[in-house]
Formats: sequence, structure tokens, C-alpha cells
Amino acid sequence: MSGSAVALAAACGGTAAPSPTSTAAATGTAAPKTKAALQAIVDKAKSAEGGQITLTWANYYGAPMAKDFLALFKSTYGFDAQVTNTPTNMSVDAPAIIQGFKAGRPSSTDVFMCTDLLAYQLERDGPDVGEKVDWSYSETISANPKVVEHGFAVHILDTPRGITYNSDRLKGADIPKSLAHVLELSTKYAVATTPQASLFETLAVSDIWGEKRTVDYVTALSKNLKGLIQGNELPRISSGEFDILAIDFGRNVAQIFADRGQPLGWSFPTDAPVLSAIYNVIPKNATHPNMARLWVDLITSKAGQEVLWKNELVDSPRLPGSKTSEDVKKLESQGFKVYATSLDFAAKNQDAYARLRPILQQIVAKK
Amino acid sequence: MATRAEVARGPLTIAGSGLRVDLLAVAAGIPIVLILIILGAVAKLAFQERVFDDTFTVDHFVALATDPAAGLALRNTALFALLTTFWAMAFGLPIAWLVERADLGKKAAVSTAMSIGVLIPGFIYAMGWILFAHPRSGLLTKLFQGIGIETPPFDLLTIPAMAWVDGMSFAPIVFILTAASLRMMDASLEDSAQMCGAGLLQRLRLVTLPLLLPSLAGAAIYVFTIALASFDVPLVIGVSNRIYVFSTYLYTQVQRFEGVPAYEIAAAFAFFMIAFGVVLAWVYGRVLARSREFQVVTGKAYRSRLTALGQWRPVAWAFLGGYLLLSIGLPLIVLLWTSFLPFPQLPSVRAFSLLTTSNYAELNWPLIGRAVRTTVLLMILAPLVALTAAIAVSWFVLRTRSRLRFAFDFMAFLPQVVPRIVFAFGALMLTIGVWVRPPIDVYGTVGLLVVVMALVQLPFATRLVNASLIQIHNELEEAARTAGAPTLTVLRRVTLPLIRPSLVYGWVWLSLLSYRELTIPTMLRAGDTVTLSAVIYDNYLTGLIGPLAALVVLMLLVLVPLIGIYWRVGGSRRPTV
Repeated sequence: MSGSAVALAAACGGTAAPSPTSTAAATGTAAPKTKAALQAIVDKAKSAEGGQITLTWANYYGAPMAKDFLALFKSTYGFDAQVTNTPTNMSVDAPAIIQGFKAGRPSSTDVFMCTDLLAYQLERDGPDVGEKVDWSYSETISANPKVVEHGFAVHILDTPRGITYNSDRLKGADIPKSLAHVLELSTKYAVATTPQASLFETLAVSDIWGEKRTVDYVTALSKNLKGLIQGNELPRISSGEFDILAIDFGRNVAQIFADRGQPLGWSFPTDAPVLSAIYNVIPKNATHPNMARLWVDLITSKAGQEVLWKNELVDSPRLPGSKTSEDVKKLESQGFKVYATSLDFAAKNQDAYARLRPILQQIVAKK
Repeated sequence: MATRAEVARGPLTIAGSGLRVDLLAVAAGIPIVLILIILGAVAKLAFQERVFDDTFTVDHFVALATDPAAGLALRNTALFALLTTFWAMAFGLPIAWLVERADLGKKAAVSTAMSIGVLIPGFIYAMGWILFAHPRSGLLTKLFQGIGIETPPFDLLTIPAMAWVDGMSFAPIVFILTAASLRMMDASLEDSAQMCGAGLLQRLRLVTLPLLLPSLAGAAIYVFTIALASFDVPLVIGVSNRIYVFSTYLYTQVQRFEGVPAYEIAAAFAFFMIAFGVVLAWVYGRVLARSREFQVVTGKAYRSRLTALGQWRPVAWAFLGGYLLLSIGLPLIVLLWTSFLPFPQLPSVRAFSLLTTSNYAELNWPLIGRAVRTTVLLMILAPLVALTAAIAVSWFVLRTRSRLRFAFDFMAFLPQVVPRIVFAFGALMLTIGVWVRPPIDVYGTVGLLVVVMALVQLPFATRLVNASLIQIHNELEEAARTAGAPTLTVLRRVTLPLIRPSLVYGWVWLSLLSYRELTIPTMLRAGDTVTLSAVIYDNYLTGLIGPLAALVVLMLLVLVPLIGIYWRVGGSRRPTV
């Protein structure tokens, strides 16, 4: 197993998953060689790559956060990064990256941002696509090796998955606290879930809920469901078309829309508190591999993690100073157990995912 | 020794090589071969375990055939496509007739308004209707509830209602597909009927409609196939109420939030569509086989004249105004309103207090700049390639006696019935060189986008050119041949000038469809080849509806005046014979 103690790997077969905070990595001090290695990469990024980096990151990582990252990049490495970002759905981008690598072509992105499952599929379908980088140049990653899984995937953040609701319509005791509460509320409010029944399969394959409880819950919820929307379609919650989305695509998505003035609230379900992992992978065929290394170093750095938190309320509990980690500690102090997905978890539960996903999808699709 | 006419009709001999080739047949063959190669890639994918695991399997076919949800989606799709086609024809055809054959007036303005319909993304139509008529939150619902009626009589969350919304958005396509033929129709036939005492409706039923049959069949089949694969409205309105048609069923099967899309399932599904496409192509072929009955432009006296509407004029304007209000006005109002709001909502005191220009200020201009460059190139080049290929294919199909002609017509129609996502993915795999390294490196270039886009536009282009060629009697071309003109000269000097209005029409509309096309640019983009539609779609996918609306508003501000100029200057010209 890789260095990820945060992984749900142990949950394979129904055992309990470790909480992120209990395994949060310790800080370390930079070795002298780190600075020399970093400087060598900075020099190459400036001279050979002209400070250019090509990304295909979704719109979320577009405007305000991009400005923060660009400013941070300059202050950290001493030169401007020239970012060409073409927002692309990461699911669609993955096969193109694999195909491109197999055909010996440059990657569409210098740093691929992906979920745990996509990182697994990248490893399964395109072995060797992900560069197993010598991370010794990065002070943060060197000191916190648990952020690197399988040698190529760097954990940059966990996003808490939960319940997004219309804060104009749901107030007081009606604010959803758990998925069981959502079930109760479904007779009174218009509840939606995603067409993919996203994350329910994770509840089913792990010891969080297990298969029977998950299928029973989804079946009961489906009876009162008012519809299916994608996790990004939160304006349909704000507009009153639906009142609640469970399970959503994460607190960060709700936060982005709330920041735009939309009447949205978010709850971390106490009966199914799950963090979904997001990774950075540098494809071996990246056009700007040195800039990619700096980009990953930047995001995992303390300042980079603060930018993530400031803009989207996400960061990596595997790194010191994580705010997500503090949230988790609070929940755990109240007796709740928080789970986190990982590359190992995705790899070990592939077959169960493949079997359960269509079952759950069919249940939510049926009126 | 061959006669002069026979030489002119025969194939060319390449000097010094002894090789005899028919250039038009070759030109027609190139797109057909490309389509076959891409479909071959799709076929291979359908029988693979996964995209990256080429273990042979038929599991995807079995899964589709045995899934009860797929059966239900199939029934929904059939009803949805039929009703959508009905509404598109019910609106598009009368408007085309009013514009081209009646003395309605304001032709440029009406044509421009119809063009705007093509420029508005389907998501906006769907969102507009949700804001207007959603049974829980719509404006109409609130109005009914205000007068004590809890449940409004119109339920948006049904198949017929979805078909109504989609049908209205497809009416402009029927408009363009039938307008050219209507424009070229010889008025003397209608005059004769009038002289025999036939009234307006009788003339329409007994003369105009039968003459238009090939065009109508082409338009109906074309819209029907678009409706079969229609995605925007079924996704936004249908899925949200758990009503699935095949496209959305496939979407939920294929698209996985966390993982790689299962394109192999979509490829298997394409086989069912191709089988259905065979039937449609056969029906259309039967119509084409009777095409000579519909040749209305001959070497003899030909004229095109307008029908006086008389007392029907107010009715015509009411019909047109009602359509434009619901199909263009409503989405435009929603678009403009949404572009100044942080999220879509009904007008209220609070909504007015939230009005903002931030959606415009936050637009990602460097990305939009790149997208505009690619989109403009695509709008110019893809229709050019598609129409050039269509002329060659249609000529081969309608003007030769080759045994391959029906096969060519069928193959040219196939991209229409194959899900675009699969067609685009097949092209991606081929050009990226997974199986065989392509001789030319086109991956990630605008050239690749242009060619693939032109191939999927070929069905539209060939239907358009077919409909025009059918109406031109062979005697004109035969006269030129008898005078010794070779095939290319006949095409250049006789046929193309006669069908020029249709070609210009086709170019403008394919250009607009290039602007609107979503799937292919999304799949084939790499770096600088991002298009505006892809940017708009990304905004939709990430829920950034305000910036999406702002971008569409700005695009309309640029494009609508250009289209208006086209209809005023170029669109009003009559074909010259």
C-alpha cells in the first residue's frame, strides 16, 4: 500500500475506514538538497519552458482563485506563470490523456486534476501515464509523503460531500442534518439527487453503510424524489425548482454559488460524513514538466492550501494546518466517524462499484 | 470512336498514366470513405470490453437489449421524436411558405428572427420554459395560483410538453430545409390550379405540398433524427423529472462523475441507431426514386411568384407573432434577465435588487478570444467543406446510374443517426493514432475539427442539395453536354448557378449550426481549438448560468446584425434561370 494512511483502503471488504485527522501527516523540515533541486526546476521552468503551463481545469479554478494562485506563484518562484487554461470535464479529459500518451503525443494538460477513481483508471488503462516524480524538490511533499499515492498521484484536497439546500426555504429545524433527516423532509420539500446516485455507491461498498442499508435508503428516498439534477446545477436549488440536493458534489461547489449571492446552505450529513479525494497527476508527456512540478508544489504548499481554503473551503487533511482537518476533529469529538476516499480505496472496490452503480442508478431513475 | 457527348460524360484520363478516373465520383467517395473509417472505429469500440481493453464482448448489446429502463426510454424517444417533428414541421413549414411564397412582407426581418432561434443554445430554451411554466416554481404556475388554480393546465414535465419546447426550437431548421425549395417552385403550377377554381388551402394541399414532398420528407426525416438524439431539453426538463429518452438514458449510463465515460456502451447503442437509420434512409430513398416527378425547374418557362394572402394576412401575422414570441422572445427575455442576475429567478423586488453586471465583468476573455478565433474558422470552413462534399455526393446519387449511388446516399446520411459523441470519439481515437498512426498529424488542429464537423453536416448538406437538384430537370444539363461541355463545366456553368440560392442558404445555416455544435468541439478540442459553444457548455456544466447567459447575449449582439444584413442583402435575391 502506498503512503496514504488516509485511504479508505482498509475499508475494502467492509472494515472501518480511518479518519483523516487521525492520520494527518506531520510537518518536516526541508533538507538542504531540496532548495538546490527546486532551484534547478525553477531555472528549467523559466528558461526552457518560458514560464508556460497548459491546464484543462474546470471553471471553478478559473477567475478569483486563479488570480490568487498566479500572485502566489510569482512571490514563491520569482517569475510569472503564463497559464493557458481550457476548462474541460475531467472525465472527458482522462481518455484523451491516456490516448495521447499511448500515441506518443503531448498531453492536453501539464497537470491533470482528477478524482480518486479517475486516478485509478489512469493507472489501470494507461500504465505509466502518471509521472512518478522525485518529489525531493518539494519541501511540503518531502515532509508529508502521505500525500503521494502510488508514486504518481498527489493528494491536493478533500471535498466534503453532503447536502445542499435552499436557505430561503429551509430554516431552523428543517435544515437537514443527516441523510435520514433528508428522507423525512422529502415528504415536505422537493428533494433531488444526482442521476448517477453519486457517492451512494461509496456508502454501499464500504463499512460506512454497507450494501443493504444503502439500497434500502435509496429505495425509500426514490419514492419521494422530485427529480434528478447534476451536482453542479445548484442554481436550480437557488431558484426554488428544488429545495434539497443530496448527495451533492461537495461543499466547495455550494460555496462557489453561495459566494455569488445564491441562497444556499450546506450540511455535512452526520450519518454519512464522507470526504472525496482530489489528486494532481503530472502526465509523462506533459509539455511543461518543470512548470507542472512547480504548480503541484505550489498547491500543496501551506500558502497554496490557504488559497484553496479561502476560495472554496477545501484543503488536504493530510497536510499540516488543514482547516478541513479541524472540521473533522470537531465532528469526531461529537462522536461521529468521518471517512475519506482514496486511490487505494477506488482500486480495491472497482468490482463492487461496477456491480452496485447500475443498481443504484436504476432505483433513483424509477418513478 | 466515342462521340463528343460521350467523351464529355465519361471519366478523365490522367495524362501519361493511362489511369481513368471520374473526379466527381472520387470527390463523392472521399467523405464516404472517411465516414466508413470512423464508423469502423465505432464498431470496434462497441465490441470492446472497455475503451482501453479490446477484449471482444457482446455484453453491451445484451445489457441494452435486456434493460427495462432502456425499453421505456425507447418508447419515450419514439413519442418524443414524433411529436417534436410534428411541432417543428407545424411551425417551420408554414413560416417558410409565408416568407417564400406569400406576400407577407418583412422577409428579411422574419428570416433574421428565425436565424436567432438557431443561435440560442437548447439549454436556454429549456431554462426559459422551466422559469416560465415549471409546475412548482414557474411564472405561469404562480399566476394560476394567484387566481386560485393550484395546478396549471399545462404540465411542462411531460413528454408532449418537452416535444413542444424542442419542436419549436427545431422549427428554424425545417424553415431552412424547405424555404429553398419553396423559393424555387414554379408559380405557374399554382396559377393553373387557381385558374381551375382552387382556393388557397386547396392549392396548398393539392399542388404546393405534393411538389414539396421530397423537401418535406428530407426535412421531416432530418428533424426526426435530430429529435431522436436530442439532448438539451430532455436533460434539463426530462431528467429533472425522471423522464428518460435514449440520449439521456445513454448519458447517465455513459457519463460518470467520478470516472472515465463508458463510450463503449454509446458505441453499442449506435448500432441500434444505425439499424433505425437504415429504415429512415430507405424511406427517403423511396422518395428520391420518384424524384423526377418533382422536377419543377426546367429549361422551359420558369417563374417564381408570390401568393396574395388577402384576408388571411392578419391570421398569418398572428401565427408568426405567436411563434416568435414563444420560441424567440421568451428565451431571449430569459437570457437577458439571467445575464444580469447572480442566479436564475423570477422577477421580484428582491430580484431587481440583485441585478448586477458581474456576469459580464467576470467573463474569461483570454479563453473567449481563443474560442472566437476557432469558432470563426469553423463557421467559415466547415460549411464550405460540407457543401462541396455534398455537391459531389448528391450529383453522384442523382445524376449517375452507378450501382453505388444509393449506398453513397445512405452512407452520407449515417452520421446523422450515429450519436455525435460516438462519432467524435471514433474520430479522436483514429487521429490520435491508437490503432494505426495516421499519415497526417491532425490531432488538436482546427483542420480536424473542420473535417469531422463537415462530415456530420453532410446529411444536412446532402438533403439540402438533393432537394434542389431534384427540382432541376436533367434536360438543362443534357443540353450543355450535347454542346460538348464536360461534367465539371456542366456543374460549374449550369447546375451550381441554378442551385446557388440553396447553397448560400445552406452555407449560412451550416455556419450557424457550426457555431451551435457542442459535442464535436468538446471531444476534439485540444489547447487552442476550444470553441465558443464549448465555453458555453462548460459554463452550463459548472452551473455558471449567469456568465453563460452574458456570453450568449454578447454573441447575439455581434451575430444578429450580421445575419440581418445577410437576409436583407443576400437572402432576398431570387434564383436566376
